[in-house]
Amino acid sequence: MIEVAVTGFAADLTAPHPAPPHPAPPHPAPPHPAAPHPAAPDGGRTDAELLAPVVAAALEDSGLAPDQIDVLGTASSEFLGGLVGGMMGAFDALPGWPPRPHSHLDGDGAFAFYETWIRLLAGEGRAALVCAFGRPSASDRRSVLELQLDPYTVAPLGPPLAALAALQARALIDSGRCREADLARIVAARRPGTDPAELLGRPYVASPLRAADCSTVVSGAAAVVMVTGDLAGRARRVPAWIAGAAHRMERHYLGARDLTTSPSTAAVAADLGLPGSDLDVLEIHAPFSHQELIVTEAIGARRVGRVNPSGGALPADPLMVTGLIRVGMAAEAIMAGQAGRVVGHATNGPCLQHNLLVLLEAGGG
Amino acid sequence: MPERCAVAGTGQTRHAAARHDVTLGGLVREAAARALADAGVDWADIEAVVIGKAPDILEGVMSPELLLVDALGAAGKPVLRAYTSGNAGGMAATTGVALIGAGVHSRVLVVAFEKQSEGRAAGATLQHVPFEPRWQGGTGSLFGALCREYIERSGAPDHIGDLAAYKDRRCALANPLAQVRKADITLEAIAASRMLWDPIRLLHSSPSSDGACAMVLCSEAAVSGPGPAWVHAVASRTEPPVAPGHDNVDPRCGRDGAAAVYRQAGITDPASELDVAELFVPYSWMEPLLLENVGLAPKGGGWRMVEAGDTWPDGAMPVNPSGGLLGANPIGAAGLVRFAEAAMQVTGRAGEHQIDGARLALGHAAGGYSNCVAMWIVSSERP
Repeated sequence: MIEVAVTGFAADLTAPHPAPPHPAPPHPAPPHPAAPHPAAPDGGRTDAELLAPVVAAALEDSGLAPDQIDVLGTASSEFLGGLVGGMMGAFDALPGWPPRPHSHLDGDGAFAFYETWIRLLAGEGRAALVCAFGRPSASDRRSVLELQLDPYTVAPLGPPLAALAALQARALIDSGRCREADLARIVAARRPGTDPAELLGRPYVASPLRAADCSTVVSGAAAVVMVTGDLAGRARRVPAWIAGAAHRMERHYLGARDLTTSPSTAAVAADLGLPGSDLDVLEIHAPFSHQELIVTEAIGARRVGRVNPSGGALPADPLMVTGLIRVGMAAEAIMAGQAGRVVGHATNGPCLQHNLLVLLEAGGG
Repeated sequence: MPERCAVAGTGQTRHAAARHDVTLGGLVREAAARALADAGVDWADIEAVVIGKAPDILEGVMSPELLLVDALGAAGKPVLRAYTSGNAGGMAATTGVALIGAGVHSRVLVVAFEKQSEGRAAGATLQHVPFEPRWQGGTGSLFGALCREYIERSGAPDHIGDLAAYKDRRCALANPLAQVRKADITLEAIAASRMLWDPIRLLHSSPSSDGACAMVLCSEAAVSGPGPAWVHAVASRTEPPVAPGHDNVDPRCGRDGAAAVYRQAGITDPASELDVAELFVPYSWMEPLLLENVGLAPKGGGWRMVEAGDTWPDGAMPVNPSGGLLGANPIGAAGLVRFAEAAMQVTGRAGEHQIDGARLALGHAAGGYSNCVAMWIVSSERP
C-alpha cells in the first residue's frame, strides 16, 4: 500500500464578528507559528486572501514548490457563503495552472483530507494540497445551519443547533455520565482564563449549555500538504505518516439515535485499532463542550497524553475548517517532534452524526 | 497500481420538471434501488456511499447527504459528498473509482441528484457578486457568449445549433426516462424558437429537471452477476475560472482531461476507436465546441461533424443517444447520467437507444465557468 505523510500544515483564524456575548479572553502566545491566533482582526479579507497565506506556509513547511502539487482537495460551505459558485474565488489561492484533479466538497475540510488521501492511494498523484476556508462570521449561520435538518418535518420548527446540542448534553447528564461541573472544567481547559465556578453562575443559552459551552465562530482557513513516501524527505520537520483514516455516518433523525454515545466514532476507532491503546495527542472536533466527553469515551484509548492542546473547537470554530484544523494540529505535534502517535477527529452534522478519525504516527513509511 | 474498477449496475429516476410524488429521500432511493437491482446486489452489500450534487442552495437543504443517509441504507457506513457544480455527478464517480482503486472498498454506491423544483435554479446560478457589475440573465448568458465566440472562431453557420438540438431531441424519444420527449419536434420549430442569449434559442436549451442517477462500482474480485462495464480511464481537471490561460471556448481542463483518459485507455484515435460518447451539452451549440475540446473533431471542425450528421446514432460518432441534457438536466445528476449512459451502452443495457455493438464509450461531465471537467472511458472488456 502506498504510504502517505502529512508534511505541511498551517491555519489562520480571525476574530469573531460580531463579538460573542462573553468575549473570549486574550490567549497566550501559542507554542508554534502554525497554531491558531484567534485574536487577529478579520480585516475583511476575501476567501482567497484568507487562504493564500496558509497555502504558502503549508507548502514551505513541506519543502515543495506549488507546481509540485498534483492533486487538490478543498472544502467550504457555499451555502454559508451565500453565493453559488462562490468557492471558485478561493481557487485563486491555489496552484491552478496547468489544470489538476481538484475535488471540492461541501463540508468540513477533514473529509476532503480523507478523500484526497484516498486519491493518493489510488495513484492519482504524489503530492496533494488540502484546504478548507470559510467566513461564517460574515453570514447568518444560524438560519443556514438549521437547513441541515429534515426540510419536511424538522427544519420548519426552526430548532437552533445549540438547542439540539443541548438536548444531547441534557441526555448525557441525565444518564449520570457527566455533570455540569465537568462541562465547566472542559471549558476552562479550552478557554484559558475561565474560572469554572464563575462559569457555572452564568446564564444558559440552551439548558444545560452556556454560551461558553458553545464554540466561538470565527473566519478561518487551513491548508495541509500530504505526500507519498518518496517526497516526505523534503519536509522541513518530522513527517506525520497516515497510519489509517476512516469515517462513518449515523442515522439523521435524532430520535432514532442514542445521543449520549457515538457509535460511528467507536466503530471507526475499532477499525483503526485505537481502543485500549495509548495516544500522545487527541484533537477532538467538539463544537459543544459535552461532545468532547462523548468522543473521548467512544475512542476508548487507554491513555491520552494531551487532549486538544490547540484549544479545540471551543475558542475558535471556523465551521467547515475546524475538523481539518484538528487533524492538522494532531499532525503538528508529530511534525514538531513532540509526539509519536496522534489522532485527529472531525465531525459533521447535528449532534455528532458523522465522525472521522485520522491516526498519524511518526517514523512510518 | 490502482485496483481495477467495474460498473456493476446503474439506475436512473424518471426525470421530470417536478417530482412532487417523492421527497428528496424518495428521489435518490428510486435511482439507488434501480442501480442495486441492475447490479444484482442488496443494500447490505454496499460498503460506502458517495453523493454528488450541485449547490445546496438549489433545494434549500444544506448538506443533504446528512438527511439522505437513511434513504440510501447508509447508516453506519462512510458517506462522502462531492460538490463541484455541473460536473459534480462526474466527480462523484471519480471519487467512487478512487475508493475502489485505493483498495479501501470493494462495493461503492455512487448517487447524484438534483430536485430543482424545490428552488429556482436559473436565478440561483447567477447571483450578484458584491462589488462587481451586475450580470443578468442566468447561467445561459455565459454560455451564449462563449458559443458566439465559437462561431466567430470556427465560421460555423447559424443552423448548427438547430441541427444538434434536433438530434438530441429526436434521440430523447428513444429514452423512456428523459423528461422532454416531443414526438412532433421539428427542425423548423427549433430554428424559430425564441432567442434567449444569442446564439442560444429556447429549444437549444436543456430543461430544469428533478432527477437522480446511481451506480454500483465494484472491485474486480467483487464482480458478480451480468457482465459489468470496466473502467479503463478516469480523469478530472479544474482550472481557475479567471486566469491568463483560461479559454471558455476550448478550455485546457477539457483538453487535458480528454488526453489523460485516452492515454490511460490506450486510445490513439478517439473518433474512430470510440463507439459512442455521452457529453455534457446543456445548450446544443456546446456540442460542436465540445467535440473539438475532447479531441473528437479537429479544431474548427466540430460543426462540420454536426452538419454531416456524424453525431446521430447511425453516424460515424454517435453523441448523446440518450438525448443528453436536452432530454433532462438535473444539474448535479446530469454528469453521472453521462457516465452511466456510457456504461449502459457498452453492456448492451441502453434499450431503445442502444448503439449496436458499442464496446468502448466516453462519459463526460463539465461545470463551473467552463473550468472543471470529469470524464471516464468504459468498455465491455476488462482493461
